[in-house]
Amino acid sequence: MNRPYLLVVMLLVFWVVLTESLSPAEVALGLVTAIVIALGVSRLVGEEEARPLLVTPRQVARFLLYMPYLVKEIVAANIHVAETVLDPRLPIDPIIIECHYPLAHDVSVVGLANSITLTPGTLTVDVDKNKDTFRIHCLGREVAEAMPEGELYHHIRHVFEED
Amino acid sequence: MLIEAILQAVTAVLVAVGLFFFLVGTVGVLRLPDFYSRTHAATKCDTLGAGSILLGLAVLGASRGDYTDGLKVLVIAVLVLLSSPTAAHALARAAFRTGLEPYTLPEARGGEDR
Amino acid sequence: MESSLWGVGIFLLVNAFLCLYRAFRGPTVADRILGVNIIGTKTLVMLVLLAFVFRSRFYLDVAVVYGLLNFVVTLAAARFLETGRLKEEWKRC
Repeated sequence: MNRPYLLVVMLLVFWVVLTESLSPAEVALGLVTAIVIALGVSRLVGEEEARPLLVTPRQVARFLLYMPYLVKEIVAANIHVAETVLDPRLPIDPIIIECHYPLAHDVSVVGLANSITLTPGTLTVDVDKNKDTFRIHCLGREVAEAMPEGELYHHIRHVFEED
Repeated sequence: MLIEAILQAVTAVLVAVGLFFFLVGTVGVLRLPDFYSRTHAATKCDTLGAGSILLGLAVLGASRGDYTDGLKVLVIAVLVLLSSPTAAHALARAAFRTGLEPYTLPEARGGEDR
Repeated sequence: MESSLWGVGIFLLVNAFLCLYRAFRGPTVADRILGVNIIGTKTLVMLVLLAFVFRSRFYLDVAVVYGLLNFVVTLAAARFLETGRLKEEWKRC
């Protein structure tokens, strides 16, 4: 299926979820809206960028299994920020590091970058054009030293690259 | 009525946790020294704060019997979970590529004074 | 129950105004965009709160649209900051 059509289908599904109605008039209105938006977006940012990310059911299932770990890490990240920010001395020692994480799919790059941002003390700043070197801003040296081991990277490989 | 009371207590706890982390995020955004470290506080705290409050409200909706409303609130929570780190990443990348230098400790800069 | 939801809303409003100080103060453009973005997240939560206080489902749709708009506005502002234009490829470097 061609990519713009896929975008139309996804927008239409979103429309039906929002309107909570399957009456022909509303679905037709949604279809027209979806086509107009898909064309507009393709013109604005180019077809290359307007295409949706594709995920297989297997990846979705593995991602759901990964969710509890992610939520635990998000809570730990927030506690870490709370400890740092509410400490009167403001104990931070920021540094930007580069880590080499080779990945095959766009969706794994997105997943890894967002996971890094949500875990304690790290923030993805940039990904280079080969999509394998991540520039990461760390709030402390200990976090920066632990990043090259790539605990998250192995989780993401397991979830989206299926190995 | 017992179940309703339990669900309301769950809502209260989740909303309280969310408000606490929203406050932490605000304090972080006001206190931290540079853009990158502020983005840390803003992204993490906004994601968990909004997620926790929205989850609490979804539970409240379920306790009132509005299951579709509760589901829609969960959709909004997933939207925040996906969009907040992505927006932060786009912004940090734009800042980095326009040459904004990150703050480092004075002693890490070779002992030179600020 | 309703009155405590009002309390939650007022707390968020105070937070949003504190973040507005960061958006006002800067010092860089990126800080201002970040400030506006997190105010947007708080507004989104407040809209959902309003849906529960007034028992009106329309606010939930407004909240969905507000969340999407907040995301797109931040992306567009970040892209404009980076490239100086809206209608251009991200620099692939």
